[in-house]
Amino acid sequence: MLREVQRSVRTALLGGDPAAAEALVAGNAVAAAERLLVHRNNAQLSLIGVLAADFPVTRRIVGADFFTAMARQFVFAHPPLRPELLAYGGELPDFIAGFPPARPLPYLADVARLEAAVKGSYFAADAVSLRPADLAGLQDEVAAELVLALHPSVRIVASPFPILTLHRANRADRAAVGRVDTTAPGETVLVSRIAAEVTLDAIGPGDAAFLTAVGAGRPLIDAAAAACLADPAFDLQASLTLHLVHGTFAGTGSRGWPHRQDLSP
Amino acid sequence: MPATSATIPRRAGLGLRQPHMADFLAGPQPVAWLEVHSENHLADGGPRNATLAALRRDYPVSCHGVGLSLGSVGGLDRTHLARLRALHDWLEPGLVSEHIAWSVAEDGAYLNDLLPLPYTEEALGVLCRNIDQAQTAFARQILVENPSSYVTFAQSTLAEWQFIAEVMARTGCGLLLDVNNIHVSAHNTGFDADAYLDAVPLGAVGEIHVAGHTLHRFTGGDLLIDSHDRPVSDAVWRLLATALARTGPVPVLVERDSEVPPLADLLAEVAAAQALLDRAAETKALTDAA
Amino acid sequence: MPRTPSRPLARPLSNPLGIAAALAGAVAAAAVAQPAQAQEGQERCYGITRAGENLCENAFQGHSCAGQATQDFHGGDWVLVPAGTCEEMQGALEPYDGINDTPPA
Repeated sequence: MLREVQRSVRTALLGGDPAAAEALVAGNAVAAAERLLVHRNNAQLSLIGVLAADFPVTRRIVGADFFTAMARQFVFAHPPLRPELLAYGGELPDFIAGFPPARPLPYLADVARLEAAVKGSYFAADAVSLRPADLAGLQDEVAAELVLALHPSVRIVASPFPILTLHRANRADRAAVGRVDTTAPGETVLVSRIAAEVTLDAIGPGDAAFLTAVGAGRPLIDAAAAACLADPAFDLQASLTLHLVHGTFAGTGSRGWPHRQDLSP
Repeated sequence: MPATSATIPRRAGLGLRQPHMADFLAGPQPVAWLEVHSENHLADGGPRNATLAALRRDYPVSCHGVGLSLGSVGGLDRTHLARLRALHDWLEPGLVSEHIAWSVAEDGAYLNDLLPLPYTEEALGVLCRNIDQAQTAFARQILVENPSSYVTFAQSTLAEWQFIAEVMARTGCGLLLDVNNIHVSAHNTGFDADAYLDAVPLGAVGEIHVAGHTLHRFTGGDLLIDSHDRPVSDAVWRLLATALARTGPVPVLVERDSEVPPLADLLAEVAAAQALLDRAAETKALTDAA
Repeated sequence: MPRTPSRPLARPLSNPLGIAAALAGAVAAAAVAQPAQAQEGQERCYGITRAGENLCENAFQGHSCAGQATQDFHGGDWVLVPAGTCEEMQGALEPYDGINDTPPA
């Protein structure tokens, strides 16, 4: 009986036929259907509200009505499977990519991917970044075989569209900045939360390949090779300088050091 | 990490919400203890938990879970139990509480609402088994909160207060008495709030919640919605006084979750709750002396 | 993050000597550089502190959202069109149509 109650209420709350649940509910002046509506609205509006709070740029781009309708379809197709809303919404970018009404905005899924990365970065583990002195005076062989851990908040989002420019132009807390040329070259974004705030930085293809290889546990010599392959103009010293100042690295080891970091949003 | 004692005092506390975190970080506030929603702090790191860690040094903290789904027919999510246990080990909360409700469906979908149980022997068995499992996993007693009801089931065979009394008797858990929920449910499902207070096991009360509600009109009548978006109503303050007169002083929490006003507004409600607690303490002292 | 110096170097990265030299150079340069505070051109994200909260109150507000939800739901034939304007800006901002450009073919 309890099984039947919970199955029918779940169906009624997330877009299914409410008849079975309504038949189990006692009504009086206020009908059973209207009583269930309270719970249906709580479930749907609260989950849509979580997505609206976490994807404000996506929402601003498409407008509130479109976003709400799309988010509702997403909630039906992908309700949270864990009771932790800090981790909800990771599948929204892929859902948008396959959502026919969003087809006129081919960059939308990648903008949402960037926002998912921001959320993940915000709640990622804390760590102390390496200081330059931590890497001073290494022997040649040691330096080449050095494995660096990325700060746990690091995410890399690459897109054929100018997603950082779009993100900047559509921040809910900022005034409009004019038209964005969505045909401009694609952008790769380093998302991180080294201090208290999440920051977004455009990085080049060489740097992206370098950090991805570092995050995969590859030693410096291999990561540098991967970077040069992606961008023949890659400058290892400049990149290392940048990231030491930024605080991108948070630990060291040597080849075979068992760590592997997933940088996807 | 915690510097302050974990014990929740029998005084008025406040539900900690994002808009007030800066106020609490800026300096001491006249609040005896804080309560957080456990699930909002199940992060690996980040500023939100850093803030909570800082506040925990100065305030006793209670962990109020909203996602464990104690009424789920499919049992509890072991991963979630473990994550909550880790949070408790970190924060050392003075109290741990959850709800008499379900929110996770059989297929694992989390519906993000506190959904009602039918009051049957079967549901009682499921709820008690899950509470036992939670108390074992947490290695401590938990409090469970009476629900705010909009829906009742035709199949129910027990009154809500009978159901609750059985839960306490079978599991040894405590009662988080939400007097706003009593007021809301009394209106929506047609029972007398004072009679409810007569019938629930007040000896098991470990904490009381007060909050605001909203009237919503439907075609055939109206329902009170447990919206937590406005000040505590006079009727609910009266219920708090009635409850405290019988329980004596217990920890009382003011909750506001939406339309959150400046902290000062909520501190006034905390002070009002404390005044009722002070009066209950005086009454109890007189009774004890007599 | 500091701006990347745009000087392509043909440094031999395939041998350990090049790696060590690059690392030593980076350590020296980074040691005197300013930490990454408010760098020009850096995007800083505020306003996400409410992200993903579980609340135990009811989202149901005291107005007609029940009726609206019913309409949304059982219609089934509404056509979704992205608005592409900042209608959430409460009139404080000018209408923004930048991202509503015709997408690349």
